[in-house]
Amino acid sequence: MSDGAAGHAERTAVGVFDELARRTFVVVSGKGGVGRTTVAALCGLALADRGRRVLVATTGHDDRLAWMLGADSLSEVPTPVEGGLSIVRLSAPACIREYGALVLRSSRLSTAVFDNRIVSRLMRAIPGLDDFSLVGKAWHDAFRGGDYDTVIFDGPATGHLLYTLGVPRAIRQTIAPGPLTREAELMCQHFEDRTRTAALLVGLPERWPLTELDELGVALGDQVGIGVAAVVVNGLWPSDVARVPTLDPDAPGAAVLEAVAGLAATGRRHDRELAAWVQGHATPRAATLTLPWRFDGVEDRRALRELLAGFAAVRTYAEAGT
Amino acid sequence: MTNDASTPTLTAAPDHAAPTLDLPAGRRVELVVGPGGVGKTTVAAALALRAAVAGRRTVVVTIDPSRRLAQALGIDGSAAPGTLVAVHHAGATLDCLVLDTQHTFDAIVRAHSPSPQAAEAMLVNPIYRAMVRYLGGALEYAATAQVHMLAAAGQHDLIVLDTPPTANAIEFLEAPAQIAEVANNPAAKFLSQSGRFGMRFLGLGSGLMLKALEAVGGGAFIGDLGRFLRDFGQVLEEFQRRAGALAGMMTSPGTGVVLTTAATDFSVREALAFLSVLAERGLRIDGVVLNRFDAAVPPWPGDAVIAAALQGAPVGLDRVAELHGALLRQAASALRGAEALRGRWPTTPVCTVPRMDPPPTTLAELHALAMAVWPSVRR
Repeated sequence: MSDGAAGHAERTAVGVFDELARRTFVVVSGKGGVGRTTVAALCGLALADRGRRVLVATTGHDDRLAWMLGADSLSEVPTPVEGGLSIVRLSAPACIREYGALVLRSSRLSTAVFDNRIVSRLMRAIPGLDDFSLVGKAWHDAFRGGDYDTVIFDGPATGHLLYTLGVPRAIRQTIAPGPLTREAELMCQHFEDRTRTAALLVGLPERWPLTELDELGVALGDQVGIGVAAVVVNGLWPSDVARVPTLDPDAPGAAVLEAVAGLAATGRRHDRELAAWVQGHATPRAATLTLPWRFDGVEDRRALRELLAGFAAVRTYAEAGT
Repeated sequence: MTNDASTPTLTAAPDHAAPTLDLPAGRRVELVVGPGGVGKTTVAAALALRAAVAGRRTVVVTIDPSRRLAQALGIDGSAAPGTLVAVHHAGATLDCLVLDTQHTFDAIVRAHSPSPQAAEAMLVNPIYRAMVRYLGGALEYAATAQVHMLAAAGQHDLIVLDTPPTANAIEFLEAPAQIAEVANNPAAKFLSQSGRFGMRFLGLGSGLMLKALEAVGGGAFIGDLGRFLRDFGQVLEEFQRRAGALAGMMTSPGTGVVLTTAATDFSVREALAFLSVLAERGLRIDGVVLNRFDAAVPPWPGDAVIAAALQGAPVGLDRVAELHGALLRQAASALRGAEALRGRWPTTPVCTVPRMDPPPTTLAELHALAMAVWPSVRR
């Protein structure tokens, strides 16, 4: 197929991160609980390792991004954690205030206006403003701020992501031309530019959820014009242990071997689900990377570094056919 | 925190203290809450099926179910949004409904607008269409309102709500009040009537205020928003006047909560925060389902025993020992989670459920899970 050797080279984990390091804005998404924040942190480390100044911006409410990168808590002010890597929490009120300061060219005025009790209540009644402010802030840091080469947006889960990223388009379509529509227009252009913006989707090794992830990828392209750079299949159990002997249930060691055999059976099922999903694709598509399950969780920077080394690439159907 | 996992002599025991959960007879609403990705929708479906089999007329309201679960529940897209789909198991009938925010709000607008014409005007208002999709808290409001409507319809003894994947419990509990507050915004009154004149009452110089608002939305948009909020506020007020305060339903004796979490350090930490908020707000916590609890790992019998057992097998002693160690550490983390929950909430039953791989999706599998968690549910 046309997707030849050069294409294949980019489909390894190293190739994927080399590729993402040339992007300005990377959106990480997937369903709840699949490891979006972990993958965003890994991507941040990988890009910082390549000499990029990287900001991982999360809309998550917890401090886990900070913990796994060795910081105590996550602040609304970007905090450097390692090399060129910084992290920040995006919160709508802070982002709206900051946006106001840009527009009014004064943070004092912005605080006076947007911290006014009645105004802040009115702001909360504007549909999409919260989402717009979050995306707008991440977009601003990526394309205008100059402090970072790449911003990784650890955005909301699957369903809400399309809403959030769709707000600029909705503004472009529904609001009378003005300062806001000009901003929205620019955001749309940047998102649609595949040399600058890319998505990294995360899923667990189960066929149907991965198929739903494909649908998210298609919807991202159709509805907001963002292309998928790679799909990360997270949490594969080890499958390298084949044919563990079955002993008489009363024999010493039988229980341990049974437990290990059960673990390996799960690993093989994950491999099968992944293979079934990969073979379900008749056309070339985004690279597929896998991450092993971590029985110890991902609680600190050491764990994150180990996991970063554990990235593996899956040969897709299209590549296997060449 | 001590980390027993690193101690090589550790052997994890099964969870002997595992209690089961109860579904009190007076419950009309059961909220299934918890962090994302822990099996909340599965637990909600299992509980609802269990209650239905026990003879309670039950409906489960789910949000974004996985495709396989949706297929089992008959709600995989073939039903019209907002309609009840009945599934049958063991002679019982369970009603299922996928929450559809748009449909729920449309129903409120149709039922509580001052006139059919006013309702139609509202339904096609672009700000209304945008609000239903884009306003933070709209999904949570719709979930709560949907439960209210089902309760008012009176066709069910029990309504099980699979709560939205809200970041935390406060967000879910406060969303209804927030949406109502947004709709009854004092600024809306001024904006809907007199633009610049009204601004002076907002405590800001009108010039600055208008500049800021126009920057955000443009002058015409803000006026439209004001008029929309005025009308929409009236609709919501009428809905809540007839339904009773939405927040009151949460704390009524008819409402209970089942918290679902995965048995990992991080999920348990989140679950503890959830429980504190729920208890502070006066909700009745009927129990915790501690999911993916794999604590029963047999002790290592010694290298010699395993080496002998592996004679001729294509797998080495070192790899088996490594994987056994991983299972032990995972078990230790699960046990730590159970201990943390039981230590902090000694009177709340914590029912542990082993990891099911693949997750249960057929009605028979869901019912088996439910029988393990709720063995005795009275009619």
